[in-house]
Amino acid sequence: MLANIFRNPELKRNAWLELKSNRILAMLGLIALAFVITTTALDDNEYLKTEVVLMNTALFILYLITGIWGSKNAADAVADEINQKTWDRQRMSGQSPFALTIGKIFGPTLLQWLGGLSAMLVYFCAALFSENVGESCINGLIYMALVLLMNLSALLFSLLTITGSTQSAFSHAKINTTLFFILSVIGVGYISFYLAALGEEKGAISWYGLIWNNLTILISLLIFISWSCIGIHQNLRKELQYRNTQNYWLAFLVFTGFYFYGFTSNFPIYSEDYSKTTYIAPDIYGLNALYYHLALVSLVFFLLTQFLLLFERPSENDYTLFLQALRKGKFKKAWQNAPLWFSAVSGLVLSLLLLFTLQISELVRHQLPHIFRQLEILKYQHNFAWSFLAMVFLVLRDVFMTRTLLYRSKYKNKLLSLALYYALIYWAVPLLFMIGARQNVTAENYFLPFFRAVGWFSPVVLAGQALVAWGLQRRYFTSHTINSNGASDISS
Amino acid sequence: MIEIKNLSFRFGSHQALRELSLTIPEGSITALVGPNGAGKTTLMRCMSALAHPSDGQVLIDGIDTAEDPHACHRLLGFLADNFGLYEDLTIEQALAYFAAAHQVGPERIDKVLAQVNLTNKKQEQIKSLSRGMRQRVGIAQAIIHMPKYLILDEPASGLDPEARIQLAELFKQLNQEGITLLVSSHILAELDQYANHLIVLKEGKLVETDFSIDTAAQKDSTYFIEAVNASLLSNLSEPTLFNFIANEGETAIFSIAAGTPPHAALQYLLQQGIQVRAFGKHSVNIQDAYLKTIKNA
Repeated sequence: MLANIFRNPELKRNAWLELKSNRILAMLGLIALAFVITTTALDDNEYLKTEVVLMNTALFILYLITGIWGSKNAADAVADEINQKTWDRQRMSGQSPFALTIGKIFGPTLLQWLGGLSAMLVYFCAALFSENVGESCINGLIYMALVLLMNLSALLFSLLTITGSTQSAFSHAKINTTLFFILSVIGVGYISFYLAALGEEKGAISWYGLIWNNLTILISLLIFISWSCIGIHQNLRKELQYRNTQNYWLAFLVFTGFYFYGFTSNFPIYSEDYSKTTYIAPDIYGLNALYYHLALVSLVFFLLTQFLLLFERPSENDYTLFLQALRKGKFKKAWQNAPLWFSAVSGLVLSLLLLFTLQISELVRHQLPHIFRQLEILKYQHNFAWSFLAMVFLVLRDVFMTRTLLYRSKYKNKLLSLALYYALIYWAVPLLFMIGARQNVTAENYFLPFFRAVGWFSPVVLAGQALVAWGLQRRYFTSHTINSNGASDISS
Repeated sequence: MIEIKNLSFRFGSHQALRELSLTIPEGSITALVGPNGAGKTTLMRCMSALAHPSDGQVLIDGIDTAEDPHACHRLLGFLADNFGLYEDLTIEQALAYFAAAHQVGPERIDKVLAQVNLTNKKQEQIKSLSRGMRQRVGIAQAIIHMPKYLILDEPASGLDPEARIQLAELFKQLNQEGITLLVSSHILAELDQYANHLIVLKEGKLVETDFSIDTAAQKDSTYFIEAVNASLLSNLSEPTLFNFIANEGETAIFSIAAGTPPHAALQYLLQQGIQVRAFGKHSVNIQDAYLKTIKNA
């Protein structure tokens, strides 16, 4: 297998391009210079030991070179091929999806990983002289895993938006990956700051009662790295025209539900007057705890759906094939051509159904601890159906609106329109409602009926919004010709 | 043989191809022509198993591109209008990459380089090459895995006249080596140099054309005669010398029987009282066939 990796054509091609002697020398020279500068500059600092300076410098180099620069290259890995019109050749080349996945993950970042690993070699040598060798080594591995996850997310985000057999193949517009690169750097960067904070406050987080430490963090990161690799592999399979089902994606959704479920006990729940804070475990138990766990899982699915609506770009032809198969009752084919958000919506609907079933359960009412009797959601138990409908219409509205706005001709216009839409619908309008302070009209009821049971008016308003969005989409699609790269031209 | 059955392709509400059915004979060099937006590139992409048709089938040697695109890819080479080259690699590296990707032995690289006449340039970076040479590299990449069919989208665009002539020669050579070619182009005169089969597309539909391998094969034996009384030719019958084909005003078109020297046929016609003003080979060309087809469509 290792021999196959070294024979990987994509890795070889990238090695020819990236690993030229002058580039390697320049990279190693710069890294050495960085170490010399920091150790010399902080030599007199009595609070910072040399090994700590070396370790911090190494981490900084790893983040800067492998993390940020590498993620930019990873985001461009396939986009550049499409822009330079070499992607079709790859798609016809007969490479296996696995070989291409390995090539695309490590190929474009070969030089950056060479730099990062050289710095980390210094890190691990310095760690041997640190106070806690084991912990320092695990920390080093955690940061390497984070940087790899950053690279993988950049590649995965960009693949999500550009794959789809027709779209990538026909595209005439240049694909700009800056957004995906920024998202991955900020997203994973945020996780690393959060983890650093966790390190300061040991025992702060539990997962199904298991207290998190450096080792569990590392394992968790490795699991997400594996999922990212699977995601990249699945996307590349689709590009290479292998038949994909959504089984992996479903497995990921189940995993996410299960994974985040474990953390819900860490989230504080406030009493009505915010005077008392409690946690699900051990203060809340049984079905009440389950209710809050499920609510959080629903929120995760809701966010996943929104994320996919924004970033996943199945081609119009794939979408047509999906609808055709559905109409003809060919469910296997429909499943193969379905956009990923379809499964995320299904997961969301399922979790909401469970949530609202639980909400009306008599058991909940009888097991309520005092603090929960104050919670508004349970006062409206009889309205569970309205909440459910409101949520479904809200998601439908966003599906129609994002589909309409994403198929604009210019990339900047798409992003601006979407940013405006989300700012308007999730921030400005609710704010106006709040400023208006209308009695019995809570902004959340109409725009985020999530953790709140609502009256009949909410699904009606949201159904109206979904209908308008559907009308807009229909009008837009019939008056515009969708060109080959998924953008639209006004038909004559 | 490439067979297309009721092929349709839609982008949203726009239908790029409409129930297209056609056959590309094995061993032919087929010209695919049509106005801009006729659906040529879409058709080529569907044939190359790079895009899934909304409806219908493309069969490459009986294999459905939608069912087994990878088997089809082994039979096909595709050259897009932009050639799809890795600019920073040398020619040899680029070919080594595609040979490895197709799991073809490295010995094939030298053969392909010789085929496209780039052996002495193999160490040069692709970005330093002229457009004509870049295009040859593109073709070399497309045939590295010895495909049976080669599909080329606007291969001659932007080439200088000399490079175009060399390209035509290369196509003929590849065809003689057993590759069936499908070439789309706007430059009809150039297609005429090598194509022996014509497909005309208009607004995603196939337009019937009377140009075929048979008519192309007649090229060498078809003559025209321009005369005041050219219409008389239709009444003259001498199958051992010539066969009347068509008459348009003062021009008559006829084919000369195999083995008959053209001057013998001319001498006979003069003897029959045909007042000849001009006489020569009649060009059965793609340009005329295309213009006639589009006009009638």
